[in-house]
Amino acid sequence: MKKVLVACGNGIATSTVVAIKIREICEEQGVQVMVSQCKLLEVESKVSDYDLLVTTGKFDASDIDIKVIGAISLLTGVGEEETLDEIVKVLK
Amino acid sequence: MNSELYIEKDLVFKDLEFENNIEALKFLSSKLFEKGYVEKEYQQAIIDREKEYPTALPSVDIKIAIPHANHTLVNKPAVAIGILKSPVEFSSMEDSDIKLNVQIIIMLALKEPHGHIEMLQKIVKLIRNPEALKKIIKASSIQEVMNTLEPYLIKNKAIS
Repeated sequence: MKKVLVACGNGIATSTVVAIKIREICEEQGVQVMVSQCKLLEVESKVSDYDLLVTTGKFDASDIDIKVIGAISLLTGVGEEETLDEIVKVLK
Repeated sequence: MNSELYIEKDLVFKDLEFENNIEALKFLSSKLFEKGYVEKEYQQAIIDREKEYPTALPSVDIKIAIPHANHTLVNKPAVAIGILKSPVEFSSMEDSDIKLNVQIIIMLALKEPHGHIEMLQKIVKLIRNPEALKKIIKASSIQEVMNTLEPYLIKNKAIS
């Protein structure tokens, strides 16, 4: 099962919304996945255990080895489908 | 389970005028503090957090900011809403170099990390509805604002 880390500034609000969306779409598409949340500050120490990093805030991904997807569209709805497709593609 | 969290009428403000976003953050956080929802330090925390991790969203048309800060400074979860007469500039959550003219501020005093799911989903639903946001901006009274918010944010009236 693939593992997703969802990070936002405080790790309390927007990552919650995004984590739910990812769980929903994966369930819909029959993709088994484990989704965890953290603060952007914690990403560096945690990310090595994961297959995908999804963030709502700006994040310098230059030191990150895994795929990183920005997910502000999952909050605003603008471009949401494309972002979800991209996420599912990585997790399939 | 999610703790319950509702919009209270006495935390909804309209016709607000501010010079900048810091003033707006101070105003809303002071209201939350006065009513006992948050600790005094919440006010500074929310300003600091906004600088480091901005909260404006590039929504369609009317722009919204959703400032929030450390849950340990929250006594009782609450949502404060500020509707501005004219927008003030916030940095975009996505990229702090992008400035957005925010006209509705939804300040979240969240007590549970990873919680308040129902409320957060309702707020997201509202953010995605430009028509509702326009109505809120144009409302002539707080009651009218509450009526528009009702299907989104108020107890037992959630739309499916």
